[in-house]
Amino acid sequence: MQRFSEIILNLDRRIIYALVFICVFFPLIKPLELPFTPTQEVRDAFNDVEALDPGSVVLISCDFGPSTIPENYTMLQALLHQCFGNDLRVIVLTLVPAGAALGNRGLMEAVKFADDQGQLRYPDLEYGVDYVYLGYRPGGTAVMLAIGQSFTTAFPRDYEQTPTKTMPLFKEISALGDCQYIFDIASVGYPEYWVSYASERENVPLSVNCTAVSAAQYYPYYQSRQFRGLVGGMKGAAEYEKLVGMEEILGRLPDATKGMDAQSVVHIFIVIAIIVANFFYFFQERQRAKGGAR
Amino acid sequence: MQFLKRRLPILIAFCAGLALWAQFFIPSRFSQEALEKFTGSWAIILAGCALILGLLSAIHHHWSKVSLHKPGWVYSLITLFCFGCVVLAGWFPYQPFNWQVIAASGLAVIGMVMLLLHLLKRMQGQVANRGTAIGAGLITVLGILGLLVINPLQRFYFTAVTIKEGSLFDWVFQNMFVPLDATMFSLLAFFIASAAFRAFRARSFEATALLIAGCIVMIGRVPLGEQLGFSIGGTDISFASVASWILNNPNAAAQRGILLGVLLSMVAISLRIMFGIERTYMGGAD
Repeated sequence: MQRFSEIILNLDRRIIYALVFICVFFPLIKPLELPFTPTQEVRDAFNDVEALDPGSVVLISCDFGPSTIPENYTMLQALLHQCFGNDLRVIVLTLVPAGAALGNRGLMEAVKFADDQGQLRYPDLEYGVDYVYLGYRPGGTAVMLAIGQSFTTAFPRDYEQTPTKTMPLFKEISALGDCQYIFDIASVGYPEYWVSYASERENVPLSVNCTAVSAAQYYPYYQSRQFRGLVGGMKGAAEYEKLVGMEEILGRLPDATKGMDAQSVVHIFIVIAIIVANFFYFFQERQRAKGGAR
Repeated sequence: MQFLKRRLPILIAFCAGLALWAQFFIPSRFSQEALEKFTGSWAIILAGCALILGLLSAIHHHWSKVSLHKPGWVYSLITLFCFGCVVLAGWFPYQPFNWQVIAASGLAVIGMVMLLLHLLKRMQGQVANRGTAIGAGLITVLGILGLLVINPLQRFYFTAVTIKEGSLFDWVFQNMFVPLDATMFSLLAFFIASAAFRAFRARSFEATALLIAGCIVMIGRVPLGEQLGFSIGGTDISFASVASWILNNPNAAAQRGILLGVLLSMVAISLRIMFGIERTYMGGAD
């Protein structure tokens, strides 16, 4: 037993990596489709957007890079489909350089989404009227303050270098205060700044989708209702996909939902690994204590 | 000199801090317009300059590593080379896989590599042929001129923030940067599993509490956690509900305390900067 515990505690890390790989690989190949229920935090965000009147404007900030695509990009897709499905208008921008191309890709994917017969799901959408992609501007909080004063001053041109002043949307919506909702999809620490520099200043409700690791730190904001909803990590994105009905829209299992099985299995594996390691650790400590007593 | 180096930056920091602080409490038209001017132009230009400063600093760091042959200098060389290639790709908004673009950018890249090799040789004190250097420079210039000719000069500016779908920069971003960045981050799962197995030990009361809470939240935040649970006094409790309780109660309480501490510290630091007590931002200790 002593020898066995030593082998376990000094297990080659490559074996652990291989086990993690198996735990990720097989559920992705053969989804278990474990059922799950959306949490209150996610339902709050969804219900808020759902309650907006048709024609309302939602500002979406894509403050994420490629590293968190499974957590944030999936959420962006679900949110855009919800907005377009409810006749809401969207203004999309990003405060991180790596998010510029991803935000554009996400928006265009939703706008140009077509069913199996090639029929566009939202054929009436018009650029500059129903949706706008402003792209990236450096400055972070300065940009938030700037759009609080004027969209066209902060972003004189959009992502494609089209002057924003000529767009019908910005003739009606001059500043952030004219928007009805802000949704920050973030992998970095911008959500708290959106509270201080945008949502509270301009009195526009805000919901946040963040990575799973940073979700815990945002609970105080959610409890104080400064975040109207909190969509944490891939689990939150999967719950949002379920609420929006992304499986019916896409005609396949949406990406975050598909990833849930792999995440379930890996989490269980890590918990089992911790328990096993601790069991042998205490066994070894006991043996050492016994040896010392002798 | 003392005035320019010390007093002027403190004066600027004091005035800017005071103006923004006062603006928040004076919702007049004049103050709104001043804020619009500041945030709409000054602040964004300053942030853009900071970005350029960061880029120059990174280039300087890697170039000094290469020139001094510090450990890992080859990686710095690769970084600089990739940096140059991505800047070129962003500068010229072409469609990828166009033979003219491939030929011109190939020439530019070959020229740059030859120039870098020549510089390295010289730094190592070896005899380097001047003709090769001139040839390499000409090839680089020829490549860049070729790219300019293919693309009319009307779009001769950095287009990294206005990337059109299907352009060369977009191709580099979507097919190289996205998978590489995603791969780097996904490796974290493997490292976390290995680290948890090796280091997560119930050595003390605090470590045990953290371990138990961590395990419950890990199980509770996945669909399986909703199916798994236990029964207390005939009431079924799932891991998901326990995880939710942990996040909404002890976690939120602790986070709130940390947050208040951080915010109070930020106020203190802001005041220290405004009154010139904190001077590390000017370079040097005090």
